[in-house]
Amino acid sequence: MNTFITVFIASFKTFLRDRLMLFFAIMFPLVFALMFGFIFGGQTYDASTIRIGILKDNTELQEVVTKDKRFTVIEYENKDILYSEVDKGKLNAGIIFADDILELLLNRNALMRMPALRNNLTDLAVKLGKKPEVREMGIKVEAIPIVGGKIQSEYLSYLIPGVIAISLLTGMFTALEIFLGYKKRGIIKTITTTAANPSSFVLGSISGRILTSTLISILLLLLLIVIFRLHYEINWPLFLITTFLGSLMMFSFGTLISLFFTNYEAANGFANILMTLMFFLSGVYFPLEFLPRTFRTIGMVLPAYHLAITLRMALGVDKLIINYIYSVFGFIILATIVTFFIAQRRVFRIE
Amino acid sequence: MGIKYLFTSFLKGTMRDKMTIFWLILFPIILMSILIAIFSSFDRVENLQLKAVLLTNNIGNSQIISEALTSLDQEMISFEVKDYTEELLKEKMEVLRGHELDLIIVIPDDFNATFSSWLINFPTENSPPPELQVYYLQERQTSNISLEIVNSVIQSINNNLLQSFGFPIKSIAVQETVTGRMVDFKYKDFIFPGMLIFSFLSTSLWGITAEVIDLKTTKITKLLKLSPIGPKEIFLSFSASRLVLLVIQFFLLSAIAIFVFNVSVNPFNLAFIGYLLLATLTFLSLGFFLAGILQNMGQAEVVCNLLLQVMQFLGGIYFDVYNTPIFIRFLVYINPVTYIIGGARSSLGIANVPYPYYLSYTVPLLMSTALILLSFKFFKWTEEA
Repeated sequence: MNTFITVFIASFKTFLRDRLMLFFAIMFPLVFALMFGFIFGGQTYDASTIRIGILKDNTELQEVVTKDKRFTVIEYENKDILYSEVDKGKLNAGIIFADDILELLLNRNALMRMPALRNNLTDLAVKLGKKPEVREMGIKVEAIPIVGGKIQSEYLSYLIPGVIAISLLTGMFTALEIFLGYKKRGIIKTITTTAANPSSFVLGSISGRILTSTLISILLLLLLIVIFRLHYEINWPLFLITTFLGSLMMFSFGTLISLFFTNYEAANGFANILMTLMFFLSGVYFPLEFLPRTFRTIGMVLPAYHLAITLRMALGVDKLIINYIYSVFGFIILATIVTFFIAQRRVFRIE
Repeated sequence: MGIKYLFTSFLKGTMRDKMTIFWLILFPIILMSILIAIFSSFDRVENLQLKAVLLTNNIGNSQIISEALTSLDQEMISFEVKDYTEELLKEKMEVLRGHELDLIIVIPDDFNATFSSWLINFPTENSPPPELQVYYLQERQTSNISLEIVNSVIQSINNNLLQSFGFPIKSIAVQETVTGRMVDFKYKDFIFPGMLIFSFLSTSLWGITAEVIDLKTTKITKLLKLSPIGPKEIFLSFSASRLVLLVIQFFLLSAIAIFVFNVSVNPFNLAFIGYLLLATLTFLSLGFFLAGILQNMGQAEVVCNLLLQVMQFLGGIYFDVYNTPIFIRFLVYINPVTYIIGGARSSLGIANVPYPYYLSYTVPLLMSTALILLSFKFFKWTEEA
């Protein structure tokens, strides 16, 4: 027990004293939240997010697009300047309406960032087919936004729980360090020659790292709330359990990887590939629905996707589904027990 | 002779290090494969399989709406039609909140009466127009897209109604042009030059900065200094070994891009090669400059990691970043990757740049000149020298 507590405290202190690790743990998720928040943010249509250019004398088109809250409209003197501005990427699209033809000039890069851009613009043709005096006549659509969880969230408040989930993925590397890195450096072998119990040493290291990871998530959340002035209704017990179990799950995932590799570097490389896959397929930065069907399925199988959903529920962004949470937590606990049992025996057998 | 020997030993040292080979040569290939596979169809909203529910009691005119919506492409959006009740609406709202549904459309019970009254009084404004209620989740893109689709369908129904009242409705043809000189543009053509630039940047930061600091902290360069080999020879042989790495990266990535992914851009385009040489000059000088100012591996790991992430994402390697908010745009425009990748893509006919074209080569040239001068001032092969 003494070994466990000593190693647990040492492992915790080591992380807090290691400014490099602290920097990585906090700065990276922050940088990613900033970058992706601003690159992909605003793709829901609560703000004028699509920058379009039209010609000054195109009054009919002007009337339709300026009333549409999806667009930020910039007017140009002539067609050549308009084309050039779209071509250079200053505008997402250029629109010219003449002789019953709606000419769309789409910026290639904007199309990749805004998958719905084409559809948003072609819809204008239906409105332009009508005379201005009857344009607003007919059946009305009353769009009623509903609150998904406990708060009315926007892109950024929706993104942040996912960013925290992604930051928990680094738990994989901690497992690799303990199960392969420690072995490589002969640390576990040294421990077996002392009076300390090797199992207590491993469990102490793991527990210390998991506690650190949970604390980092809290710190990260508070920092992001302050920086972006976000409002959440946080279910703290759920948040803490999710980050704790999330760290544990990623640790189990790393442990599983360590079972298939004897070389630390090779395992690290493999974990990095998995991390990249989870980064893109977690549904955090890019909605899974926009990806090919195979990748949607892969994304849904990977743990990052479920961690992000559970954290959204904990922050009040998504509706709390108790059965879902029980399933996720149950799976994590079961997987953790099984992997730790196998891994611990294997680690010491190899030593 | 000394240079040749040293060059071979630097190169062998790198090639024998599995992690270096993984990060500098294999990882860009894996990343390119993942990105092409994932984002190849990202620019077209098709086969989204959106799910919507239509709650209606299908009385009289409300059937027009039901028929129009349910006749939509099922691969794009599928409608489940149910009888409207308050309880069912509440139930479906919970399903929508649970993300198992993208949209709920409600045709209220009074829709038919309002519609008939509106038709009788049309075109005067004596009676309010009939109204549908559409419930959606603002933060979910699929919910917003579904809302757009429904809006579009209702607009078409309105057009038909107006036409039946004798109002002329014109059929507007849509002509579409996507910018750039390439006719059949795909994400793989866009990402390929980006991955080359990414691998060159990785080599500069990990293959130069981190490696030089490692050589310094393990005192290898100090030992070399005691030998007849001078700093100039060390510099030339080390740089030459990095250039060989870059050449390997270029040929390997290009071969995979062309033969595996069928990328249609020509990597041997002279202007493109020019931008790759410019990238080499800029990134090598950045690598040596950082190796000159950073003291130990701890600092190198932080700075290299942070610079690599920020420079790749805010340089537009994966997506266009020109229209970001002003303070992010500042980081975009002080980033040499922005100009190099912008110029490289422009030279291949993929996409043009929003700034004057000459900046694509002048900015990296000026930056590399400044970095070379700074490297001369700060760079030392040994910690003490």
